[in-house]
Amino acid sequence: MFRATWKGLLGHKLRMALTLIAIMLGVGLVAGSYIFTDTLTRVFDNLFADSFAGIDVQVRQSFDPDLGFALPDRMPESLVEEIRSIDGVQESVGTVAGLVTLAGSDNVLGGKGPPTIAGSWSATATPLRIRDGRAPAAGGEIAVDASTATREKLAVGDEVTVIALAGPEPFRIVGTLGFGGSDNFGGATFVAFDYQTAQRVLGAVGMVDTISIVGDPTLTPETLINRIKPILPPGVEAVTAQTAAEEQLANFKQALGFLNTSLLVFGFVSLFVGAFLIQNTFQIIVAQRTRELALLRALGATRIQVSRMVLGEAFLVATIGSVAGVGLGAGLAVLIRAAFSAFGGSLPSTTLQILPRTVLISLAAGIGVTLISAYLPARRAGSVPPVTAMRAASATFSPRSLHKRAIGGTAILGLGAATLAIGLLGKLQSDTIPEVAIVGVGAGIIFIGLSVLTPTFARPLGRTLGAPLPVLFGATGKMARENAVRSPRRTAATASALMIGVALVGLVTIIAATIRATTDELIADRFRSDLVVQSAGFGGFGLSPALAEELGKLPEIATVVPVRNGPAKIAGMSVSSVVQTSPRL
Amino acid sequence: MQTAVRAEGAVKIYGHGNLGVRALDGVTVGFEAGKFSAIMGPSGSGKSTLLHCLAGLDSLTAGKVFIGERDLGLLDDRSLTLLRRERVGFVFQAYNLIPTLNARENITLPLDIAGKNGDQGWVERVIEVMGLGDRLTHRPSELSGGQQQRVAVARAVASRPEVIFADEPSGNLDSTSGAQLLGFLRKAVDDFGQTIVMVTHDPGAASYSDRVVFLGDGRVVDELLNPTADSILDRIRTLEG
Repeated sequence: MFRATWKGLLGHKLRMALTLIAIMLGVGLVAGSYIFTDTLTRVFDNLFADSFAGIDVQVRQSFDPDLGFALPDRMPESLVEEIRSIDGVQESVGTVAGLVTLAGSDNVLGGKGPPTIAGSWSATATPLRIRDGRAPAAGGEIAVDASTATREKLAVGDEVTVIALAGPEPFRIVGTLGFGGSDNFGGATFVAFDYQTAQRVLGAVGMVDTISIVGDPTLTPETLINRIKPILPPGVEAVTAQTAAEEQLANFKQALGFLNTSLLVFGFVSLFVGAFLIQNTFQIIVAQRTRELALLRALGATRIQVSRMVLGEAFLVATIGSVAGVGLGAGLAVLIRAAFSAFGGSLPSTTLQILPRTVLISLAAGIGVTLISAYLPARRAGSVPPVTAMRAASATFSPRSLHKRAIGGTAILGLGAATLAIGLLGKLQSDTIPEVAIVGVGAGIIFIGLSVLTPTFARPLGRTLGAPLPVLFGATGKMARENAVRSPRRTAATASALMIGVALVGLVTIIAATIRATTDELIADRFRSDLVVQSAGFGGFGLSPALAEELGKLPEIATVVPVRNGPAKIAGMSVSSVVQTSPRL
Repeated sequence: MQTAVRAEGAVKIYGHGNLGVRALDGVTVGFEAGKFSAIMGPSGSGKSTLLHCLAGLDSLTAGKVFIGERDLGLLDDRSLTLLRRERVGFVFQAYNLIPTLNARENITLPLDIAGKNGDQGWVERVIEVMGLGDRLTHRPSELSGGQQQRVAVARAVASRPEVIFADEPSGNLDSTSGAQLLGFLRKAVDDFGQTIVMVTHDPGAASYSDRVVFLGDGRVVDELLNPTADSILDRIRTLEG
């Protein structure tokens, strides 16, 4: 029986190839999302570990992780010396950091997308390494990360402009930097000044953002923290380098989780759609092989044996498709990464992370979906009457009534519509199940309901739409119409392939149109002004208030409204953005 | 005489009520073990229906069918399937080979289905007698009609069934291949003691048998022992006249 299964597969190469592709694409998307996010996580895991390499303890302003990117207040510089005098502390280095814009003669350098971060150089207690040239040592000197230098074709000796709150200022590149082993920090552009210059440019004279501490190697970081704690002012905390790295990774993982979910949704939607395609294919294969199946039954194969043979075919195709899908997923992950790089976010390379969990879920999803899809056609194959083998013409299945189908289909459709309505109206106030998931499940059920109902539409619809055919083409036109109407199930099976295609095109088009409409609305709502002036790059570090005043003096400009925004917590609920405007100038 | 398969008062009605067609109208007949029997009759006489019902492929509306001493009407689908697997062989008019399997795989298919290796010596002997030794690795599409039907006969004989049912086995073959094939069926009966029940409308084919049963309008109307083509034609003329 196994031989018949295997050879049966080879006998339907083209149809099986279609099934194979459907499985491969779905599994590929699922595997790809996992591989991509796992790889990114691994990359940043290394990066964050790198960025705290050589440091035991970090002292910083305590901050609320809910407020995301809000920059905490700074600490007085004197704290650096006080910590250094503690017994067991070998190094205590204050650092300042902030957001700036790096510019060439007439263009913005780096920082398109990811931010441009400026910081202070220190020779010790830092992940920063000089790659080329030397460290910045005096005012007017700057070091740029190696990745940005390569991308923007900057070399030691070049002049660049740094725009910070105080306004633009010229600098000369004296060196390029790396972060431990990587050329840049997760795609961000990084520039370093000497300590005093950094304080001046970033508006932090006499202040530091963080203090990196190296302790006596015989002491644990925890012991060190216990010794430092007593002298820290309120609102300042000391954490181990490991904790700091883990916190950053956790933040990052949360952001990545969203990306993973969206990618996975695409994967599972395509598997769901693939299920219909697979079912359709197997239904056709079973119908085509009615005689062959009847022969097997006549020769003594039981119903279960015949059903199992079809399921066996499905299993083989599913296994091949799923394994190929995992490979495709790895390819997709590489592609997504390449796409990210193309947008300026050069990600440090790590080997692709294909975890056992990824392979397991992908195989289970691919094989599971295929077996479920092939189940009905397989059962049908088992119920082919053996006497069919004796008849010359391949007999069709006894036409069962469409009544049950109409009732069942309507019930499924109703259930789907109800689920969709609950999701859309947000009636189910649940913390664990997001409404969008309910909407998705509802849409899926409606899709199943519609596909169950299609044969009941086929006859009246075929008659109506086919009405002009006999008039136009005479006897052949009449035959065409009657053929479509005669076997509504067959017509529906053919139509459902088309239905899936149209549904997919519709899905993509609607998503694209929605994103566009939302963006348009957002722009129309938020920007009532004719022009918006903002700093280049991610988040933006803000602009000098003096700029608003200067712009207001221009005769062409009627009104200038300076805007300042940032995250905040109101009554314990975190708000992503609070906007403060001053009266018009 | 030992009866291999028999029908008692077999009635088969297709459809319902006034529209119902009585394909079999009370057939009582037995077929002897180790003999080659033919069922003849004009189109619509019920000969194919009788064959299907005797073979357990179709069920009767009334009456009984026995293979050996087993009443087919008392068997459920599974037992009937196992009975076909172990005791019945088929040869069809349209050969009905699996196109994706080669000749040898087609011959051993019933053994495969049963999950048995079978008697390899026997299988080789059948292959030799059917003259298929040099064709075993060919697919059905690479074989002539006569060769395909010989594969089908070998398939039926290979599992040593109690009875082989053949439905117009030479119907799709030219006269030479047809004669050759019927010779093989005859040989299976004479050399291997095989029981064969064959449906045909061709007097030439029926002349290879030991006994011809004539059907008309769903009833047994006559029978002939040790027939020749001429004696069969005479009998048909008498029946029609």
